[in-house]
Amino acid sequence: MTTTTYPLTPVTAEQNPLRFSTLTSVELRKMTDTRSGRWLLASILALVTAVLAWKVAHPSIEVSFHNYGGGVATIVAFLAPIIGLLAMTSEWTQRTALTTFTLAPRRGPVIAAKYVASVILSLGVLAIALLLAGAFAIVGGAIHGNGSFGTMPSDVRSFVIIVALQVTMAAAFGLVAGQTPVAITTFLVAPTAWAALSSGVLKSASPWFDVFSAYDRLSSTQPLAHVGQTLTAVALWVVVPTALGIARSLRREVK
Amino acid sequence: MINAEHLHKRYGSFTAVDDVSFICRPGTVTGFLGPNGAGKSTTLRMMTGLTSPSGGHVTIDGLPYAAHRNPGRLIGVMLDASAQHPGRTGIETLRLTARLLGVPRARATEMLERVGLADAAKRLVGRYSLGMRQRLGIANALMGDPAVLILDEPANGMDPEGIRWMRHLLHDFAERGGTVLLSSHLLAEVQATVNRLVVINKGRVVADDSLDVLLAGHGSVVRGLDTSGLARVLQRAGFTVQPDTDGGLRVAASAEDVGRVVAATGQVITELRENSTGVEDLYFRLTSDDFVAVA
Repeated sequence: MTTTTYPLTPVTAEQNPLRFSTLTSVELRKMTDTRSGRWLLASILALVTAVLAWKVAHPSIEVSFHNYGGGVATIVAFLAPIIGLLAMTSEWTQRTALTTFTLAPRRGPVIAAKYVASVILSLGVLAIALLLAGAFAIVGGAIHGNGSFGTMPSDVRSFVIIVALQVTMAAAFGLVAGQTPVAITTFLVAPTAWAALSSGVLKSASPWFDVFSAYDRLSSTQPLAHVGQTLTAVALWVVVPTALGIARSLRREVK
Repeated sequence: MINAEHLHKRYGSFTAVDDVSFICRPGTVTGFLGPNGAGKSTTLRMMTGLTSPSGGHVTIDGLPYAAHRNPGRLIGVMLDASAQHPGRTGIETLRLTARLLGVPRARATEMLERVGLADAAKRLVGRYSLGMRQRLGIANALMGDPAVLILDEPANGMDPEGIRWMRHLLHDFAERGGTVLLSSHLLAEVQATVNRLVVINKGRVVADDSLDVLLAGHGSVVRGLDTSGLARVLQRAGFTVQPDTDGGLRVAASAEDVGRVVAATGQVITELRENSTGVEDLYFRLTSDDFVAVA
């Protein structure tokens, strides 16, 4: 025992409990501090800008926030949730789970923090994309005349709902697949492929399993239309994978 | 203090860890040895809340790992130096830990300097050598200024200078009252670093004691000008004597007793020492197939 500088820390360990807000801010940062995360964000914004520039350059395209915003919202709705999906899978594929779950042994809050951070980030990207869409619509209106912002409030509301639902579905696929390629492929391809196939096979029953139609209804001005079909599709594509994914992540042995 | 009591882990019909109990006290460096597949990593994962035991329990400072509200402030853990995100810089990796633990952000820079990685702070971890990742992993484990360190193969991939640096760091840590548990396959390094050993084989503890006791004498070794004459004298004194492979004699008596007998007879000896084994001999003896653990 040669020194007096060594602090005995059991007291501080109990005095500084991990807070959910801390977990969320750490997860948000983890989504943006890796090379892959930054590339993905930069690519989304580049793609959004390119699509808007293309629209402005074509006089035949109607200049409106609804049209411009709808185009970029679709890009954001498919690509931004992949950042959240990666947050769910990369802990396992990069094996950082060993560090993450030794620093924060309660996995439930960590997974919840990843989800919340993923929603915040995707909505942040959506906000930037919609600001750009608005700016381009103003420019387009100045060039071509007749820029329309009439439906903006309901447009924004429906974009936010669709992005939030997509983030949830992506996170669920990331959780249940537990590895990146399968999760991304499933997220991007499965709902569309399923919708295409099932309309032939299931005939009139197919709307019950079509998650994108359910999203459209939920984000429309009449969210309660065909509520049974909507709930069934969302349960199948979002709730069930989330439940399975959470159960798997909580039990999965970290190696 | 780490206290493992009757830990069991079964995977189906396979028993990976079978009734493992041991204690690591403050101020000690405990080496945790065993062949691959002996259950070391499984034990360390149960200790750190990553794997739940099939039976028994393990506490650190009186609580199971996951029951600590901010375990990184008490327990520094590095289970695999490769388990770092390759797309993140070294400094960023530590800053994330600082944020999670609630320690000042500047501590990331301090720790990076302390482990000798200041120059590589802004390089991506994917471009680090294994030795550099080990240093980063140790810096990460030290971020919360812990009182307990649990390290799996920390010297793996380090150069001799790095190994010596780590030995000093761990000695220093234990001298300040810290508790260290480390696994390693570098037996010479273990001998120079630890003061206690826990050896497991096939999921069971086969040795658990201080290094001094475990390595202590199995008789002595003596060498002289007249080997057969020396052997006769010692046998006459009632000691069991065995010829060594290189011309010496192994005697089942302490060096002092052998010295007294030899001095009385006037035999000339060229070497006399306690026959202490090294960690390597001990390890192979304890983990050989025909060794049976005596509890």
